[in-house]
Amino acid sequence: MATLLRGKRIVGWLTGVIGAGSLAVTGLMSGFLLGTTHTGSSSVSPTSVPTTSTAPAAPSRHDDGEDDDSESTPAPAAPAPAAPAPATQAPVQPSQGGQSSGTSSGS
Amino acid sequence: MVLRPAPELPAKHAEWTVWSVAASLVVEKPGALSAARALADEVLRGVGAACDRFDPGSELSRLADDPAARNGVRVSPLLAELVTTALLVAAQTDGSVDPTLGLELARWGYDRDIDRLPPAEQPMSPDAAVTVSAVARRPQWRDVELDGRVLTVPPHLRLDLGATAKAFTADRIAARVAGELDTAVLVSLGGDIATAGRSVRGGWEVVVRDRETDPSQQVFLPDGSAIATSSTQKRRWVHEGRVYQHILDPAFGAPVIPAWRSATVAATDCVTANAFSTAAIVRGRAAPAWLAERGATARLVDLEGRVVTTAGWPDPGEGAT
Repeated sequence: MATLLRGKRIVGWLTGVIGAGSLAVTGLMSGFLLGTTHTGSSSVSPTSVPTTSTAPAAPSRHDDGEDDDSESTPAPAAPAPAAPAPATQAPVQPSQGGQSSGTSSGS
Repeated sequence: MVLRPAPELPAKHAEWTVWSVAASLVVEKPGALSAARALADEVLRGVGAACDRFDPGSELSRLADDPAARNGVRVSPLLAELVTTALLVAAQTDGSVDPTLGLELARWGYDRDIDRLPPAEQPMSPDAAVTVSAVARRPQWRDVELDGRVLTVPPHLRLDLGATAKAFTADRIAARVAGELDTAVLVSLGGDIATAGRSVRGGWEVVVRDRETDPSQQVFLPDGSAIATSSTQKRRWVHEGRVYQHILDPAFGAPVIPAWRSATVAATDCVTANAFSTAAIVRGRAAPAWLAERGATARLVDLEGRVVTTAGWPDPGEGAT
């Protein structure tokens, strides 16, 4: 009977140790994942500013197939994000409806 | 896309004909139309007196007959502005829009107002054979010198500012009407459209369409923007039994063999829009890539009626009519 009680205490102690370790690992992993997600969104934001400059023939940094940031690549120390450039208004936009005030045609 | 009905605009219109093209003026401010029209007429008279190629009394025509121009003559501030604009456009378009083609235009029969030339009314067929005999021509716009207001034109060249003067005038009228009359305004000279001032809706609805049978699209032009269309379907005439159109390729000094019915470009001013739309016609099949490289927002219609756009132009299906 004493042996049985001792065994139960050992199992209970081990269960506690494993549970605490599990919580600690979960916490560390969550922190890591949250940190990764936060880093990702802040680096995307500046590039989401709309632009009207469209030059498909001119290769951009993302077109050259080199050095694209990825989740598996450790991010270098990021400089402070630059303020996004002011969005330039497109010189022409989809119709909003209504009567036209003029016609652009050749002359 | 479902087009919402727009609120009734308080704008007032004026329409008339000038330089053989339809002109129109739209202002929002009640009571400003008469004064706006007067300003427009003043600008038109000034530009015409400065550079109308078909008016023998214009400053440019007198200059062409003045031997002193070979060594430099002092010109009016307005003509200096117009020549400066033309030379800047030539540089901006890598020479595709060249202001030194006056003699070549006359040689191909365009030596008087288009209304006085034998018209070529039949629409251009994509299968039509076009033969133009021409020899390579050295780019010559760099030979024109403008030092302050002193203009020097080599004797073998004649300036024709028609490619840029109309758009320049649209920009100038719009700026003066908005600035002096405190009203939003849309100015159209032969389809070259300039806007200025702050309108109720923040911009203007404009239809892009060359001929009645061509595909058309309604778009929104924000305040301060401009749009221009160049066409190989208009300003066509018969000369020595053949049909020609008015846009010349500076590389040959001969009418462009069309790849496009029309090219439309939107920009922040009408001179730029017109420069790119004219250059697109000159550059033919290479135009879409050339425009895209420069970030130009454009819509081109080929000889089959197919629409090609560069990025930034609204989906051709939106607003199509």
